Order: sequence, then C-alpha cells, then structure tokens
Amino acid sequence: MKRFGLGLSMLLISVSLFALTDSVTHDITLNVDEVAMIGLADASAITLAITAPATAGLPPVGQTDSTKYLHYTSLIDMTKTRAITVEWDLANAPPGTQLLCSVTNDLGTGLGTKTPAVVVSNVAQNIITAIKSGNTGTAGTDGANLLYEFEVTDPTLLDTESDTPTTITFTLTEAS
Amino acid sequence: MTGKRLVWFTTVFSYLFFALVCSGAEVQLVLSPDSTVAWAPSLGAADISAPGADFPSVVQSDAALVDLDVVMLEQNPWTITIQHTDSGFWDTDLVLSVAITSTGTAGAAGAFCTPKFSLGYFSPLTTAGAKTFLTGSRLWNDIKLQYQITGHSASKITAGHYATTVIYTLIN
Repeated sequence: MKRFGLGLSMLLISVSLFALTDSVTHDITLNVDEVAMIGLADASAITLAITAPATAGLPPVGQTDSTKYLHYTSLIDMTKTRAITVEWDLANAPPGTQLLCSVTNDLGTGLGTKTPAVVVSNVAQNIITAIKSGNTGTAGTDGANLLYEFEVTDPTLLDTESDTPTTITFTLTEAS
Repeated sequence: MTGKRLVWFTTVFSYLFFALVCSGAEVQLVLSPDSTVAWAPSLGAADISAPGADFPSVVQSDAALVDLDVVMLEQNPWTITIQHTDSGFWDTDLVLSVAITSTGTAGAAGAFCTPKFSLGYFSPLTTAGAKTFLTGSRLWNDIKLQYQITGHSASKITAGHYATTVIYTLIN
C-alpha cells in the first residue's frame, strides 16, 4: 500500500511535468531626454533706488527686493549636474553702487544648493549649484526666492540725476 | 511483480503516457506582428508645459497596442499571466501597468475568455511574480492590451533609457 502511494505520487508529478505552456515577450523602453527650462514666476520690471538714511549723518541706503521666484525643470544624466548663473548687461555698476543677488530659501531634492550672495556683473556667476533632476513647481511662490540688494559702496560717487536700466539674465546650464 | 518494480513501472508508464497524449496537443500564444515592435515612448522638453512643471503623470500606449492570439487545442481551460523583468535598467519608481481593452473573439465553438479585471483598468505589473490577467479555453483571437507608465516624475528619475521586458505566459 505504501509503495502504491509512492507510485501514485510519482504519477501526479509526471502530470505536472507535462503541463502545457507557451510564452512571448515584448520589450518596452522609456526614453527620458535631457531637459533644461528656466523662467521667472513674474518677469515684470522692478526699480531699486538709493534713499536717504533714517538718521542724518549715515550714508544713503539702497533698496532691496525679494518678490521674484525662479522656476526651473531639470532632467539630466545622473553623472552630471547643472548650475544657475546670474549676469547683467552693464559693463559697470552705477558709480558708487553694487547689486547683490542671492537665493533666500532652501531648495528641494535635486534642485541644487544656493551659494552666498554674488555681486552682479557682466560675467555669469553661480547662484545655485549641484542641480540634478527635479522641478520647482509653477505656483507664484514655488522655486528659488531671489533677493536683490542694491548697496552703496561709495556715497561720494553717487549720481543722483541718472537712472540705469539693466536686464538681468539667469541661465540654467550644465556645470563645467 | 515486486513492489519496487511496480513503482518503476508506474513512473515509466506515466511519462510515456503523457508524452504521447501531449504530442498531439498544440498550445501557442501569439503576439500579432504589430505588437512585436518594442514600445518606446519618449519624454522631453515638449512634454513640460512651463519652467518648473513636471512631466504628465501618465504615459499610455495606443489602446490596442498589444494583440494576443491563443491557440489551445486542448479542452482544458487556460490562463494568461503577465509580469515584467528587472534587468537593472528599470527604475524602481517607474510603475508599468497593463489594461485589457478588448477581450477579443472566439476562434472555435465553445471557446471562452474571461478577463480578471474590468476592461480599461490598469493593473500594475511586478517583477516579483506573474499576475493572472485572463482565463479561457480553446482558440481565442485579438485580445487587446494597453500599457501605462507612471512614476516618472522629474524629482524621481534622471535622463536616460529605462528598459524592461513584458512576459506573457499561457498556462494550460
């Protein structure tokens, strides 16, 4: 009886060995291209002026602005990074002044690391580095909050009769 | 005949018996010619609506991209399972799903085909094991399937090529 049971079990094993199967395969590839897109939440012009000090005897004071946000989307190979640079179209700042630019908020995963404030010039300088893949979002206060600081470096050189319009350019570029 | 000989006789006989029976049966799962071409969707700048925006959350193939035919001359019911492979080129954040968009048509009298999911429902595939999508019997033609990929957020993946292979298995 025991041996009959053994034989029966081997018979069942044999049945399973002869189960009918067939397979086909289909290949799928998702291609994700590199993407670099940057813009301002609000690209309207701002005016920064030199104003009188609160107390007589102190130097004039430059205005600041922190109403602007940079939006960007970056898709890049995992071995590379990008940076955002700032520059303007002036050879020199108005006499006796300088413009500082920086990012005030911490950025999310993949969106890079802010640098200390830079003095804006006609040479591109990094304000965010180590950007990998990510996107800031598109709402009004999403992204990198920019801080412009117009500073007086030498009150004796100030020219109170002139305005100096300029265009500031931010570039999302592959890090060198 | 001793007990030991009885066991060996039973084993050999059973192998021979099922080899003979199965030699007359045919079982085949066929991807139509159009389906043999790899599905290779692309994502790029044109898919980003504005700076700061993400990719669309869903990428889908044509609704009838995959066309399956079943050839089963056996009377026994069959099942079709689907899974995809992990060859190291598929990001774990990416989710590949399959929907049955049409159960097709009978290829023989008495044949049937029953989907395990509602038509159009995207069921995620795994690399861990096969999932049953259809049961049926006999010959059946033109089962239509659609692919969907999710999880490809810019915050989760990088630029590159992500590849996998979908395995369809017909089991009697």
